[in-house]
Amino acid sequence: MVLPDDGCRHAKPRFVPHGTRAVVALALVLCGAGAIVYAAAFHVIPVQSEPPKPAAAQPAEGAPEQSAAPSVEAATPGEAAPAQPAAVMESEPALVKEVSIGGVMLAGSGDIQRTYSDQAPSQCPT
Amino acid sequence: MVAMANQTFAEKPPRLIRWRIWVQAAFAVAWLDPLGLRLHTICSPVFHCYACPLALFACPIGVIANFSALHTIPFLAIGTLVVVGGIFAGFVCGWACPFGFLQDMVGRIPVPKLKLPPWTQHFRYVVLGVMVLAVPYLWGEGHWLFICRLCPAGTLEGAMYNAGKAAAQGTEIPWPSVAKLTVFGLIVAAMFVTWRPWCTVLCPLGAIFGLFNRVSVIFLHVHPEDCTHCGRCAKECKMGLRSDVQLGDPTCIRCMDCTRCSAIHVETILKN
Repeated sequence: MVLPDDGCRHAKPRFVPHGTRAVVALALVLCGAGAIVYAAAFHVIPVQSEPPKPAAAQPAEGAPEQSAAPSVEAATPGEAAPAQPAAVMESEPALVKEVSIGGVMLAGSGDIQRTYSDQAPSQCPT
Repeated sequence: MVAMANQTFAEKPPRLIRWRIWVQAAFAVAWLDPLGLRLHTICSPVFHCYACPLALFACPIGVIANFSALHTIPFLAIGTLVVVGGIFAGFVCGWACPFGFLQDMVGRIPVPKLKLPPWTQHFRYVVLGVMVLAVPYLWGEGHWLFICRLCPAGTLEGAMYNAGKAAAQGTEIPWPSVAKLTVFGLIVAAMFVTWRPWCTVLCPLGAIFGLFNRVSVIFLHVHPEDCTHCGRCAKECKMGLRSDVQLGDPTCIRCMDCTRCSAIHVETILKN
């Protein structure tokens, strides 16, 4: 009997042993389920609500009014540094939703920062 | 004697395979969020852009890429892909993915098909490593090689839908970038002349699920004692695989066309 020679006869199938496959598959499913539970229940990420704004400098008595954009150098000594907005601890599912609408970005400081202050975008900008 | 060898290969596909197109259509309808739930806090296991107003879940590749840009580990997306991949592996590609469904429907158009060389499948891992992980981590989501800025699924399901909607409403049309339109055009053109070009060459999600093909809970298995090495499975496989030796190949989308051969079965780890 002559079989069509397409190389199949000589190649041996490479199968993972059944026991090994069962162990690996169950281990993967358990690890994946654990990651999902961790992400949903425990993983929180700090998100800056909006970019920090410099505090408005108080004009000295008798001095002319300052311009609309006072510089840090013009602040009087002892005055508080520009207030940093409080970081909101967001759960990972909430952050997943935020990235789906382009609502967060990585700031230069390395913090995760919201890209909007009022109404959230309706869809991803890409 | 050759006729005897061919008797193990059914000319008519088993019933389950004939239902595949309807299963794919049902999943496509489900992913299009018919109830308007918009559950974007959950990652789906398929390639469906969350910029599409009709997307039910969030795209796992988009989530992974954006989290890479945020220098944060996406445990939710990774866990979802590991669970689904560990159970189903390539079955997701062959039975559930809407973009795969689109390619299958276009591929049915009777145009001569080319079979891509096997080495092209490795480019999926380049896309995964570069466009999904490295580029976002190093340069952020604004870089032109960020996966979402070139993704054809996003062009079709997000950009084109929104452009059409804006045109209908008479507002300013948000056109996608030239690069995005070019990639989409090339993929659509390739769909006519080869089976599943996106899945074979570029899909990062298929690259991930393909890694689970050898170790998944549900898998395809060939019984060597029943195989007559007729080579028919190799000729029938649309992904260009030799089913009798390559059932665990990362390119296999588990369309189950090869199960027309009585030597190849779907099995689970529960069966000894």
